[in-house]
Amino acid sequence: MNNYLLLLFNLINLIFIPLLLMGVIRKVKALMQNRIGSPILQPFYDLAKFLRKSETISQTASWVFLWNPLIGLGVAVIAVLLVPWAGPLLPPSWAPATNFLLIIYLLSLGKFFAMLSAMDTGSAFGGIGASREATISMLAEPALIIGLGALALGNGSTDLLTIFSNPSNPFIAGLVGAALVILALAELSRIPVDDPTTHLELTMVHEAMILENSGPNLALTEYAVALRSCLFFGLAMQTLMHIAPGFYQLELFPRYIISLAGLLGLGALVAVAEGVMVKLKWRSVPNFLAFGTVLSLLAALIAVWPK
Amino acid sequence: MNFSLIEILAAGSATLAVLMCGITSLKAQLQALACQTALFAGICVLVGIQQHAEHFLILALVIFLLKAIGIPLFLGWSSQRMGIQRDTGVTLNPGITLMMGFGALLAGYFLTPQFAVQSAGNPICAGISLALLFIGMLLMITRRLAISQVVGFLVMENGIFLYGLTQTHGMPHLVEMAAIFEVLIAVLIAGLVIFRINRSFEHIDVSKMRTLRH
Amino acid sequence: MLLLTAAIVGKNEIITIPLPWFLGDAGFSMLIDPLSRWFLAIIGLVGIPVALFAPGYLLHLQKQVSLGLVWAGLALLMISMAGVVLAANAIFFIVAWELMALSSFFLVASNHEQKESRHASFIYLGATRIGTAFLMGGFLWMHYLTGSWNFSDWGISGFSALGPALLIFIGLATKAGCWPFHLWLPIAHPAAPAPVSALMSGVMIKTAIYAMARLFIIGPHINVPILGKIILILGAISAFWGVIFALLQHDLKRLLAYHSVENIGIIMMGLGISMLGSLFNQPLLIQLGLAAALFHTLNHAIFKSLLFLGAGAIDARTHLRDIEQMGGLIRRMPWTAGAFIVGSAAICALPPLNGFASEWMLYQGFFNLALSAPLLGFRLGGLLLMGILALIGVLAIACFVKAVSIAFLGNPRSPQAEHAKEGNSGMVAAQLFLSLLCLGLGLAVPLLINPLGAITSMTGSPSQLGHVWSIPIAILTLLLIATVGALAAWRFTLVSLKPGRKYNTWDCGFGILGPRTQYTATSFAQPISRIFGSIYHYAVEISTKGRQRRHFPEAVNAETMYEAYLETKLYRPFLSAVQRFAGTFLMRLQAGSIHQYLIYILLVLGLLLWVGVLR
Repeated sequence: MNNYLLLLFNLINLIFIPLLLMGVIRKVKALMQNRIGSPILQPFYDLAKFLRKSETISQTASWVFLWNPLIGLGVAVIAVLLVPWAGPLLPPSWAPATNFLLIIYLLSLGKFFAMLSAMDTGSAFGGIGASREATISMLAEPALIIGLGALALGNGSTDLLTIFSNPSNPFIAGLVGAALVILALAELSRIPVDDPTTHLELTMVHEAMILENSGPNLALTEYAVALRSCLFFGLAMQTLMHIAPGFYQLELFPRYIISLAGLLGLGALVAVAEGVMVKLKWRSVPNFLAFGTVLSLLAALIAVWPK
Repeated sequence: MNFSLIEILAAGSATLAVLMCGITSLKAQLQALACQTALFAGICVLVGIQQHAEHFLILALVIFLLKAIGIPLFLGWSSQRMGIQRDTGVTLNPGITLMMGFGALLAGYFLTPQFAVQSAGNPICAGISLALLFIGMLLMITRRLAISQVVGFLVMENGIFLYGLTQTHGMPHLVEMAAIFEVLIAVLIAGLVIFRINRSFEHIDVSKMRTLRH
Repeated sequence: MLLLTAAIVGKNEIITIPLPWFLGDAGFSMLIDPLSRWFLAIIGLVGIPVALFAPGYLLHLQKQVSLGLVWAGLALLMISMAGVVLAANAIFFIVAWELMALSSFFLVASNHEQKESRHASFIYLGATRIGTAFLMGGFLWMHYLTGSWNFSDWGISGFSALGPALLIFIGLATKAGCWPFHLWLPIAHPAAPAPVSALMSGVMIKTAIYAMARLFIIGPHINVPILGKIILILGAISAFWGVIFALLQHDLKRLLAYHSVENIGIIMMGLGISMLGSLFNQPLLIQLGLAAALFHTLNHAIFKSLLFLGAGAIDARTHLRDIEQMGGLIRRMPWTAGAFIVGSAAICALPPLNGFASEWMLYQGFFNLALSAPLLGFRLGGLLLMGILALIGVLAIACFVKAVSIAFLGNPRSPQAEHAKEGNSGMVAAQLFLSLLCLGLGLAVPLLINPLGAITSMTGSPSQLGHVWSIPIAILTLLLIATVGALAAWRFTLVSLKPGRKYNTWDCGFGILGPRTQYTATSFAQPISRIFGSIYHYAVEISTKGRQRRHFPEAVNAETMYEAYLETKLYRPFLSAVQRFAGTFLMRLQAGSIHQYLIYILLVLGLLLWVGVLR
């Protein structure tokens, strides 16, 4: 009985929180730019608007283009369900399913089809977006796996649920958390790696890939982005909160509230950073991501230290 | 994993040094250097408490004021007067330099048994001071602007000092003070000379100064 | 027929069949145990689709290739591969090995009218000769040390075993395509007809892996600690090297050949972890590494053959191998495209396909190394290897997105691509069979744990693999399919209410874009190639011609260049030195004069008599 309640809670979570997060980010960014900005619930209205519109599909597109948003959203939904981004909201028997390698490769499945669909329309926008997305992934994923591996070493298991239900070394948690924030910015195509608001080919990576989508396809894609933001920022926040020694012992509900507050706070911080920083020159992006890698490596060094 | 507070602070300063390898903005580098030296002053205080000797506390104060606050301010002021904000001319990609900085940390770890003095405790600090030495050298080699090379020199100096502080039972009070003042004078002179170089050549890009003999 | 019988797995026993034939010292004895059965299954599983595919494919090569030769070669290849994995002693092994090399040489050279084929087969022959020489040297040394030709008597360890182990390893690594002995692979595999490439890349190079497992890990084996570290490091370098060179290729088959180098590297990393496990006395590590390596062997055989058959289908229908000339094939060859996408997803280790399952096991092996190795260096190495495997995985994704999207998606870039048609039913059936296997193997991992466990228990301790595979992949796949299905149903009903329109791709108002304005393979790989540019001297040269060059160029020429330093700085000078030596010095020994040869015969006779008398 309890398990079903948890599952229902998870589902409600993933319907409301991701879009709320995007709304908070947009609102804070607008405030940084001295505007009032759109209401916090704007992403919900946007999605409803997209769903009402009709689609324009390129003549060159094939089934890859049509099915990509569905696969991407399906993958994102399952990933968000499995990752304990707001505390361990899954029953412990589900722990093996939350294996971080599985999650990362599942997200890669979504990315694979996203890149294919970008190239499917035969436009050079899609080409440059996909090619740059591949490069950014290449720089970010090793750091992600090494960082999460360092966290996992402390608990002897690669299952995220187990990692987040047990104590971690505060230094490892801090370093990996910082690395995860940098890598989240890379994976979610936010400033300073990519600008999610412009539509010029030199300043967009993710937007270039989804340029041809419209109507319901665009709604599904945007929702998938929101889900992934929730996942990555939530993961970073959970790791950072594990610096506090007693965090893993908190009861379910207080932990959830604190995590949620932390998540929205991190979103606000990211928006503040977006208002202050500019997108990096493309050639400087690898140097920025190298910081994430080095932070993960430092965490790995601490994790393997002899006891 | 039981580390003493000294070792934790030393590890923190080593982390900052590794991250400094990848920073290209001069202001950020100076800030990182300041933090690192402040941590170092903290180590000095702890050593003083551990050995019940007051002169370490005075030393810590001197380090903090001169090296953690004074020198970065001075270098920042002179770079501002020269109009330099960013050391974009690095000979090695900053990303690769970061990896090499991490490698220097590993090298420090593996060389620890040869360099640690058992009777003084804090074995990790020997490795960390070696790592700081390597990273300082790395910074000096891979940067083009003369000011960044001074920063590398300071990191190296930090490393040597850390070794002396933690592996011996304290050097004579006078020697340490003398060393600090020497470094201060060196940096002041370096700063002034760099300023003059900038005035003469309109830049302080070291890689372009190879034809000085002409 | 033969191919199908090779897929039938016998009883789970160790059967020694000494046949009444003798080759010198040793009988023609064969050994069937779980390891052999595993590899026999691989040979058979790949053999079936190759047999289905070949008739349709060879139709287009009819004029250039003698069909009888190809079929005879294929049959001989399959028999010899089975012989290699069944051999119980070194003599039989070498005989089968040589037969394998010869038959594949004839198959590579089957299209001998073309200069490229001849060149490739010659290089392949040379590489295989050198490899076998090392292997024979190692076997002879082992016979000298142990006095027996049987593999089951070759359990030695210690310093004296280092020499033969290294020789054997170099011989096997040459056949497997491990860095730095891999140079023949990207030359030989593309030159062969597609079904042959599938067999060679999917199965033949795995026989070297079989030998490595048999000789270095399982049962009584040659126990040399440093070999494990060598295999691990060379495996990691091969994997990385293979994939970054694959990114530069735009010949589809060469690209796939480089990916074979990469995957052999991954398999060898697994073997290396296993050997490190025996160094540290950690049975779980031994078993995990071995299981991951063998599982990946099976998976790679399946999806690599799938990809090669797909490339062959495109070649048969469009006579194109250069992806820069293809495009839009997904509409014209939908089944081939679908199968190729499944194969690409499998090789990129995307769940829920089989590539993910074996790479996950390898990750767990690395994690276990990081958990349980006694030295910090090895523990950190375990974590670093996880990062390296992740890097390789993403590079593979980049490479296959490039290959699939340029070849199949978008608009056709040449008339041949525009007029392509789907392959015939045999070709399609073969590819479908392999795609279903990819999916099936990915979902049915718990079923495979038993055979893998039987193999790993031969390393000395009972199988601990039961607890390793914990992911409920089947349930998750069902969940994924259900979610995507529900979303699809919802979306399609939504769209049917408000019908969309088909229009041109967004062109910024410039008018309809043609196929030339699409992204090219070189452009796709450029950012990554630039990052790794120092490894292979990547350079892009652009020159413009015309009177008013800056404003009204008449012709713009862009050229990308890369250089494989291993080839140009190491192998070529060495080979040309050998050629010079052979040409000048040895020529003198073969002057063509009968008197000189008679004198040689006399001298050798005298020498033999003298040696005989002394004994």
